[in-house]
Amino acid sequence: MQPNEESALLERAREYDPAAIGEIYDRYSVRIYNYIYHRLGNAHLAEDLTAAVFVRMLEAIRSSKAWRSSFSGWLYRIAHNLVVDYFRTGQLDKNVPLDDVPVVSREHPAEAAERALTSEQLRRSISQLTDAQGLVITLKFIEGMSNSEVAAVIGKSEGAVKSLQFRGLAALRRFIGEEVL
Amino acid sequence: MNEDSVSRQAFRDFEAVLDECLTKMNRGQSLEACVAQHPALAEELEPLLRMASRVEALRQDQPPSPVALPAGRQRLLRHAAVLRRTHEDQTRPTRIPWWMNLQSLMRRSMATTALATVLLVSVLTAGTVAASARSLPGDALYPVKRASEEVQLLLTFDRQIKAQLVGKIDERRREEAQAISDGGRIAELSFRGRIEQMDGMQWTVGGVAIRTSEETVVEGDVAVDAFVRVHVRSVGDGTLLAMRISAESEIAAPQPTASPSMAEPTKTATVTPTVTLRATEIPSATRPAQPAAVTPTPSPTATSTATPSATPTEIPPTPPPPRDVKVRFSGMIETMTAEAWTIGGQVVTIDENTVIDEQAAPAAVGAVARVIAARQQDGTLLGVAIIIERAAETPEQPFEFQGLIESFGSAQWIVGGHSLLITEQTVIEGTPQKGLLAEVKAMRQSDGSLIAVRIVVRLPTEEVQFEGVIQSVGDGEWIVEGVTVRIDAETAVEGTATVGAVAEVQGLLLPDGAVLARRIVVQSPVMGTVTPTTA
Repeated sequence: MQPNEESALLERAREYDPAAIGEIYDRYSVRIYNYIYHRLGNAHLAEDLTAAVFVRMLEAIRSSKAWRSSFSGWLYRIAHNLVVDYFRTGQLDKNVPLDDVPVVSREHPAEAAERALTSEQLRRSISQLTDAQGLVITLKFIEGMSNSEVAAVIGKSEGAVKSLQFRGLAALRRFIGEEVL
Repeated sequence: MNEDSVSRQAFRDFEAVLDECLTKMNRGQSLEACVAQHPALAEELEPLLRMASRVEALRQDQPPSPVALPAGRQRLLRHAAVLRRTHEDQTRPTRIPWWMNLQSLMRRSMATTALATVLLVSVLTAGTVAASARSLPGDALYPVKRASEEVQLLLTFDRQIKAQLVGKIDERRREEAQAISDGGRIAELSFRGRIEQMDGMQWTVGGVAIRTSEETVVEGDVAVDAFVRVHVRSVGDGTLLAMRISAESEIAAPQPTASPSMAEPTKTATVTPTVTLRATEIPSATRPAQPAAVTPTPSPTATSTATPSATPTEIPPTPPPPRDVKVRFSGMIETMTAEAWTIGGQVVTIDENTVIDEQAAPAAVGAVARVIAARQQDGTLLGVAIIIERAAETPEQPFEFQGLIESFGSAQWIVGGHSLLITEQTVIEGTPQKGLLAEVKAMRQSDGSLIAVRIVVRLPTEEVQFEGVIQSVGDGEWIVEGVTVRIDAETAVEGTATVGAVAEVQGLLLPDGAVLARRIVVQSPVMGTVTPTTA
């Protein structure tokens, strides 16, 4: 979407125009859902938190400081904060429901369980990163964005992205240690 | 350069090397090969690259197709409607003119009524009142018109003259209803009159044509020649849609019309005459249902042709209107705000006690709901329970996106995590290949599924060339030096594909890091031969 188009769309959304809000939801909901799913590994939770992201967006959209440079980055930050809150409040069940973990074909169930637990540990560790580090690590390595795409989303330079990527990976290494590597 | 700046530069250099390795690995180079290119940094570099690979592995856990997102959209739009209403209420200057506040004051007690009346009469200029005479519900001056009527009634003490006044006011309401209808205006209003005709759904009351429906609430004994109060909704096409028709004693004073611009309905209990006159003398033996009342200024109906009686008869007081009449109806939700919903053409006020049952389907505009409501004394409906029986039918919505082709078949593709249904009408440009970028135009169906309208497959433009050992040879896909190499019908393969042989690969770098091979030269076959197959 062109910047002018997005700007006009957001201006309409600020007036709670239902067509504009619906369009924003259609454009971003799947991306936000995928992002949250990868952070939590639970589809139902991801759907619920996706809904919460857009409700928060709606409640804050009139604020002139709601987003500064990137609307999608703002949405991702809301999603990131909700995920972090979720981990912090301990609402996420520490026992990963194995039914929810897709088993890779030909993978032994025990290996799948171990992978699930390791993934869970990794997800929790990502949530312990700073907001910027967590966003960069998730957008780049899980969502598969390039440095320039991540930079556009978080409103920073590519140099800053490289720096955050290094610090984030180093922090994860500290949190998790070598045993899962 | 001091120690700090040296340290910062070293960090920047390391960040650059790390990013370079990550980019190479993303394009297929092995972690070991990358580390080997930076032996001095290997100890620090390797664990970070392994960590990045581990995080990337989370991507393999593909999210299931979301099923609740359409419902989330509906909830979001409902929430937006509530916020919009709240915002409008906060920002809109009060529409209640000061004279309406006086009206409110007048209603509060008889003691204040007199004071309010004097104030109203003294502050409204004759010009304002005269100018309001032709106003209709919704006009700025309409409240002045209604207030002046109330003052007139308050200041009229002679029973006969007051009855004439009530008749004139009734007639005025009917003229307003006709004018609203003829003008194609949208408003809700009420008027009183005698039923002259009941032709199916089409009735005529006091000379005004109204249309009834199954949703119309009828209260009391309603038949031709009965005197009734009619609440109608002018829908803008000349139709007055009856929402409620209730039998009423002709002697009762007219209630004020609910005006769209009125903040609260006017009540005229303080001016209800208890005695009135009737122009038409009707023998009680032949018309037992009619009150033994005589009025000198009847409504303009067929029964109003008789000569007024010279001997008015006093009649008993009008019984109070029924309270909290329960009304049940079903209809489609047309509008929703925080305070009121319009369902099947009827406005239902929502308060904190209204039960909204969304077990069967979410409440949304377009959904079908069963309503149990309490009819208030002012004629409005207060929602007791609203049971959503059927979800709104969401029309098809266009949806455009870009994504990598994850799989493709004759009936279904998966692009960027979205499942797309392919039909005979789907236009596909380009040759699909797993990992290629596709631009998709689709229509989202009411069940959330996507039907592809047009898919444009974009070929990558970045060419790559590398050499390495063939590690595996699969069905349309090889691994060469850790890089996934995809083979299609246009790939030229020279030599025999053999695991362990060295191959030179020329191709296009796909967005997912694999290479779409255009030419492969197998240089030195060593082991058993495997013939490549195309995808």
